[in-house]
Amino acid sequence: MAKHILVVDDSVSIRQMVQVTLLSAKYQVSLAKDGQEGLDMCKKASYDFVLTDQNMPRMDGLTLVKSLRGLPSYQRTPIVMLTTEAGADMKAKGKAAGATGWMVKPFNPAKLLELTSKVLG
Amino acid sequence: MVKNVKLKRMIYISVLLIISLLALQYIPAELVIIFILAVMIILTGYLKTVDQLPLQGENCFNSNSHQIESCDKILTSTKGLASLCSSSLQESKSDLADLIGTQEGAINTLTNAFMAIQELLNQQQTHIHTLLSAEVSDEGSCVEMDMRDFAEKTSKTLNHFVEIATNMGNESIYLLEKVDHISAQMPGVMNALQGIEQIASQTNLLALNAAIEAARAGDAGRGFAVVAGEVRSLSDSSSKVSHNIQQQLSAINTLIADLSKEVKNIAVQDVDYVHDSKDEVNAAISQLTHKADNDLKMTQNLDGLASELLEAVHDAMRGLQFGDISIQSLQFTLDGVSHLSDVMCEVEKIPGVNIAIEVDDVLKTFKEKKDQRLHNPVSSSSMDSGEVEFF
Repeated sequence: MAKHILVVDDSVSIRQMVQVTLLSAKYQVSLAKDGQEGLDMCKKASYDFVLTDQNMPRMDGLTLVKSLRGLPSYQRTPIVMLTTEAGADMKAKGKAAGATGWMVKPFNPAKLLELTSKVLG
Repeated sequence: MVKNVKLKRMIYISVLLIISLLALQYIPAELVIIFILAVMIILTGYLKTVDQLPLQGENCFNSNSHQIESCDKILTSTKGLASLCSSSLQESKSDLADLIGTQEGAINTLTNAFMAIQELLNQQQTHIHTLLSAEVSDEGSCVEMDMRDFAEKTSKTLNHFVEIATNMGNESIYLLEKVDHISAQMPGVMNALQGIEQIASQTNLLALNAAIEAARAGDAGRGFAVVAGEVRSLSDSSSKVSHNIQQQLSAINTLIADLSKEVKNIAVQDVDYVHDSKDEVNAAISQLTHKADNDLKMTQNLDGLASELLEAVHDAMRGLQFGDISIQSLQFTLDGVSHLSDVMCEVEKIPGVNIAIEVDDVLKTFKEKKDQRLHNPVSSSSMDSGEVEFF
């Protein structure tokens, strides 16, 4: 059965690019346009991997990671930040929030697939 | 009094310089130039005012009146400048918003196009892989190898057939020789039969003479005449048998000649036909093997091209993400321009009762807004793909 991945990003084009990339590797993909929507979706369904942007309206990526880590079913789920932020302080915040990894935009589709394959074991 | 005026002006210029320096962090170069020019104008006005300040001991009333007038002029100029800046900033805001909208539209169109290309490429690659996997049989051997194996086996079988056909041809020729040998014996047999027939004729003649002589002998020769008649009868029979045998042998000879001719034709035709067929089948198999080789190579080339195309589309996708990144950066700049525009509006509204305090209030508000404002979310400055880090 295909692994189910949740992609959270406020940019339509980025969501589309990530979706097409992951679909090409036969993953099942769901999309959320901000952290709040992502959190609501995670409460309703179970995802094997969450890929989230940082700067989004309503709820940012770090808040989403903290909220997800507070849910019993998402304490061990891999969550990777996919963002334009590359500062060490932001990465430290991500690590402290409980993110599994950090990928800086622009992403290379091949590298994204490599990362996904790695975190999904 | 003079000192107080100088102090106020110094504070006023300092505030303008601080605003200009803060503006440098947020706004495009064009607006920074406007600010620098504005500061220069104010400074020029200030210096002129200072130059015109009356010296101590002059008429105090004239001096105060002159200072108030100068302060009003500076305030009016500053408000005018703020209004100008505010207007320019509003235009910049509008331009930036339009730019963001246009860029978003263009990026979305390009993204849709590239996603469609990527989808088609994925489908194409799936078909190619299906084609390549179909060229490997269940046992895991390649169709190309199967074709070679098939060609070898067919060639071996054909060689076997050719050998059999050649042997059969050789045996036919041997048979033909035997038949020819038999046919060659025929004239001798015919001669012998003709000799028998001649002997029978001579015997008949002798028997006729004996019968004549027996007739002459009268009763004494009657018995001999009977014998002579029997001999003649035997001679006729012998002659007839010999004639029959000759006719049959002649018919056999004709049949042997026909048989010889047919066998000869068959012997030659079989070998040639098999040799020709073998060459044709070998040529056909060679073509099939060659085609299988070419098909495999072409499919592998297509697979390689599809991979390169996919890589190019991935590069394009990476490039397209800069659209989203630059929009974020533009949005951040737009926010900065908005803040600055708000400050200019506040400067325009300064009543001018206590300029230092009023300007200070505007400055404080601006600083608060700046502190509340997030940093620029965009860290990337190159087209390279971003790094990946695991915690």
